[in-house]
Amino acid sequence: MPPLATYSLPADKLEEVADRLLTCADRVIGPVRTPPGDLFFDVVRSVNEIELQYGNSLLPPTTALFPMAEEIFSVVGGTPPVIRAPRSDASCLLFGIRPCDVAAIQRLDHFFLDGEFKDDLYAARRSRTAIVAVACSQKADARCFCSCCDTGPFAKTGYDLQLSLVDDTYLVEVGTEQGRRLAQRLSDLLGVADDDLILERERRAQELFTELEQKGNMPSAIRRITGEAVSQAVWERIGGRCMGCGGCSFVCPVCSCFYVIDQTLPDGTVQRIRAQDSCRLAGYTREASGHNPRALPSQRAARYSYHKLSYRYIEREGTQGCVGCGRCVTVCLGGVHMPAVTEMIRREA
Amino acid sequence: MRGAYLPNIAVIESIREETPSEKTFTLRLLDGATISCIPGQFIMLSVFGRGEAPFCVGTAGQDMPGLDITVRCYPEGQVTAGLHSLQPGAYVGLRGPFGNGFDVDALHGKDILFVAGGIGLVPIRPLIHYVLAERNRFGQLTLLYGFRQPSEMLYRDELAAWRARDDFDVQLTIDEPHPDWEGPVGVVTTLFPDLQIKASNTKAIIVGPPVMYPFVVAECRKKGITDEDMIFSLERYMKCGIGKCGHCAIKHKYVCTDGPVFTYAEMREMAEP
Ligand SMILES: Cc1cc2nc3c(=O)[nH]c(=O)nc-3n(C[C@H](O)[C@H](O)[C@H](O)COP(=O)(O)OP(=O)(O)OC[C@H]3O[C@@H](n4cnc5c(N)ncnc54)[C@H](O)[C@@H]3O)c2cc1C
Ligand code: SF4
Ligand code: SF4
Ligand code: FES
Repeated sequence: MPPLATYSLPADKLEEVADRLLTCADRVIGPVRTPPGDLFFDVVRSVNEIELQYGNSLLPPTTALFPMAEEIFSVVGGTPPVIRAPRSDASCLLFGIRPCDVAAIQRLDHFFLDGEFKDDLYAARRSRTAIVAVACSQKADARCFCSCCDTGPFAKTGYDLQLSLVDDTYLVEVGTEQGRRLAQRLSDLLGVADDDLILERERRAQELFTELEQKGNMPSAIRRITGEAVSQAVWERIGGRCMGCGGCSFVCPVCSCFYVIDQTLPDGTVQRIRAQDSCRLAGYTREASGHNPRALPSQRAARYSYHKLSYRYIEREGTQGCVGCGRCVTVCLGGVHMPAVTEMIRREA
Repeated sequence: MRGAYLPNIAVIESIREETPSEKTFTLRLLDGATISCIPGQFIMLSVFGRGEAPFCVGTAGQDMPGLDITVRCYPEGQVTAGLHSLQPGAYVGLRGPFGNGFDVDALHGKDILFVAGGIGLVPIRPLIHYVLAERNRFGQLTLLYGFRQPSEMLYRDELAAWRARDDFDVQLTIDEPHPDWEGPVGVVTTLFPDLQIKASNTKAIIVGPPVMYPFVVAECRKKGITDEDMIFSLERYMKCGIGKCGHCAIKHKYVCTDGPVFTYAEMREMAEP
């Protein structure tokens, strides 16, 4: 989808842009480095906290929309009980997120918002969230592979505003009406984006794209998983190396599974909480009778890959379930993260 | 409409002890709210402070003031043990109904073979009610119901009434011999060899523990029933009921929204490695 409008912005005005955007939402969430040196997507209070040259954060920015844990409702009183839905009208602006994470949000949007049932909690947060993406002008992280997933190095859709650095100028793209309103707040800083700027961004993206890893493992894995051509031996090898920690799901911006528990607060209020879950955990499918249809790590490995890469799910959700952010590569103890798995599947072919 | 995750409040009107571990709860929605469901659907039931779990609708119909559920207690189960400890007058939460339910229209004019193992009779019961209420729209009716021992027989009064009818062939069996039992002994599949059915006009409705399924499928096939005419209700660990939590997914199907009722032909496509 072509952008609604394009502008240019001198690179040295970026701070001012960020500063103004800070006033455009109740909460601005951006890449922030903590004193020990870890990068998180966290609430930004002043522009100098923002760091745009980051290796992908361990936890994805999608937690702003689908938190690690959140309240579904609380119950007060008992005769009869009264259900109270959580209320928040606070607006949120996600600043400086990468194209792969924008693609992840698009997949989450489709999963949580379209179809027979809508997820009210996600919908409430999403409707109040604006996305200002910053495209990658160089490989952002040693482990990422957007070129295998067609999710970068710049986003083609899914952003409200997108900034792409070309030498000393940013190309500013407006993706939505919401983005247009944000651009209006910046109008005195923005200039005309001439064709050269647009073409140059395109050319450099192409250059970067070809420079990035293109092993072809992903399409091969998609084909073989869809066709159920992956041998039992490969699933067992992957399962045998998986520690069952679930880390790959918890860091994945696309993973959307959750479990639900009730907790009782000291004042007697019951809170129903949902928290992120992983199909890699042994208890994920264990039933009260003790029966577990996916009792083996190999079965869970196959499930994880099937959900992310089978064409049946690509059909159902519109895109594949991996955007190539590389986070699972960082976290996996057994070395059976997404790129390793697609390679193992391809090698077998 | 309330948000999909927010339950309506219901009160437990009465409780009937079916077996030492199963009780039937009659629930009524507050404030004149009603619920409409078809056999084979399920609700998500909340015991506040303990959690929420899926249970099949035990009664079906339009605009009902409430419904029945029959629940097996797992002593360490959050919801089931919590529910079993409640008394009439206690409040619970109710969402739904969810799921596809049985395609009752497709059963019209057919002979129906119900096969229930243990608590599998729960979702079949409202379908039997439906079929018996319009008895002349269906052909030959058979129920094969197997359970472990005599004390585990559900819905005794209803079973007695069904057995008394001459237009409903009801056969019961227990897994192992027991002094209080004079009927057949053996798992439910041992009732198949003597069964007289017209396979081409038969729909089999099969619900029970997963271990039972391969054996029942084999027997149905021997009788000539096609995979499309074997209809199952599946159970999976469920946390939402609306296709979001991911727990119930098998291959590219969600048991909560695409099911829980599937034909065996569909289940074959859902086989995981
Ligand atoms: C569509 C559908 C329809 C159903 N219909 C019916 C029905 O009509 N009637 C019926 O009786 N059942 C029905 N069931 C099954 C019913 O939903 C389960 O029995 C119920 O969910 C159990 O919930 P619980 O909270 O009691 O158990 P849970 O608290 O979820 O516990 C389950 C088991 O896990 C163990 N456990 C709990 N916590 C932990 C832990 N932290 N670590 C390790 N193990 C743990 C417990 O020992 C227990 O045995 C249905 C299920 C589905 C999917
Ligand atoms: S991160 Fe690696 S070890 Fe942990 S569950 Fe995922 S695949 Fe298994
Ligand atoms: S599977 Fe791994 S690389 Fe792909 S989106 Fe998830 S965390 Fe990123
Ligand atoms: S129960 Fe949550 S997806 Fe089916």
